[in-house]
Amino acid sequence: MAVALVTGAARDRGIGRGIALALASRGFDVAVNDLAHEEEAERRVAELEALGRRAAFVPGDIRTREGNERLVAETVERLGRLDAFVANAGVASWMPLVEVTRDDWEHVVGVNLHGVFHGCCAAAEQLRRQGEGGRIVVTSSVNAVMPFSPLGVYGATKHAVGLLVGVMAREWGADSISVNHVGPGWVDTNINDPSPDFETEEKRAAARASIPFGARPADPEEIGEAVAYLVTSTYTTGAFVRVDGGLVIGKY
Amino acid sequence: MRVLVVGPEGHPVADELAAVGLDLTREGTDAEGLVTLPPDPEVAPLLELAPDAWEDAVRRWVEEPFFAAQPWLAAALERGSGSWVAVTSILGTQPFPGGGAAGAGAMALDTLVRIAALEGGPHGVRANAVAPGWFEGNVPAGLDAGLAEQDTPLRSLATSAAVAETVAWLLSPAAAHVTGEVLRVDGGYTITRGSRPDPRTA
Repeated sequence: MAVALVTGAARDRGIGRGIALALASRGFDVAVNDLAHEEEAERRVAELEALGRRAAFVPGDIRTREGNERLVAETVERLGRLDAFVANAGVASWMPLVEVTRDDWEHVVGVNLHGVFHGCCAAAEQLRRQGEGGRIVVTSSVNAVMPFSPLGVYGATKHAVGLLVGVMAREWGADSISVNHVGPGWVDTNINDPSPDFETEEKRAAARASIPFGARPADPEEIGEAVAYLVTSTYTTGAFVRVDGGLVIGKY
Repeated sequence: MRVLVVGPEGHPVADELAAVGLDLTREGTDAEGLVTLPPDPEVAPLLELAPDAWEDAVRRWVEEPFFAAQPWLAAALERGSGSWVAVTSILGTQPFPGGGAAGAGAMALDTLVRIAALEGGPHGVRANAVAPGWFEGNVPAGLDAGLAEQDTPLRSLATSAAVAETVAWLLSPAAAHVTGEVLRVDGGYTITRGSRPDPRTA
């Protein structure tokens, strides 16, 4: 019985939901993490169970190593083991560099960079203990390859995560742990609500028109399908899979 | 040219910047140029890094240079001119086993430099990064400098003077149309065997 832990997966509109559903449809039991959002998490657990899988809500803050170690331990306690870890939780803030405060920095770097690093390390330690290899996937962004203003600090964390995925893939390959990342472009989730690109219907129409394939945002389950591929692949590691409808082709 | 220098005291590139004729200052925001210098590179596998050592590396490689650059950047935007050169590392240009912490920090700063180029361009402000390989006086502990030389097409480590010359060129009007660039100064190391499994063994 394979078990996956997905961070930041409680929200109704979130990418994490799409990932959890895609993994459940591949036969994974799924631990759903989020910082809060208990009601939405209950809906996630119910819909995963409706697919015939076991599911558990494992709430907690992913910004620290201890926080991630607790999540991994709770996943193992409740679902028996860990086979796949998806570091999906992420936050963004839109502002020019000169306006970034220390609080903004802590918020974005704390979740997107420290959180991903500590989560992947905590998962890798568990996978090493089990001794049967495993799969790690990070939800990064098209911003892992394309500098974009006013998402400067966000983009810096995503670029750094892309570099880190390569290092982890090389360092942990001997343990049969693969590490990859997926790069969503525009997905219509809560994280994008404050974006100046989507503040009017006119701007949303322009954003849709800028996407070569489909002229629409991605459905979270389309990101989930890419994660499911990386989690089931027996040879792919250190890879970046853009799932963006071609949004950033030729832009980096 | 007056240049604000921020970063560790005694960094080997700082002395060489003075030697190539730049007028260095350690304070203020009115200098035309800004050079941010990195901490000494350290290499360790990720699972051997204590959690706070990781956070400290990120702080020193990217947070400190960024927040040191920020008031200068605001003044440069207001003034309508300026050039920022961040010295980072080849550890940020490709994934080296052992180079994860420094590399993540260097990559993050390279990105912030490119964002600064995007945001500063319309105001006459340029921003670039210089990513040195291993250079004399700045070799990570445990790295075999001899092996690194063998693996470098130019067959020598860079000198800190060579790094400083590149920084000075990027600051100068000779590079007036160069912005958002990350320029490796590594003797070709990363196009050949810079991908050895662990930089400590070259």
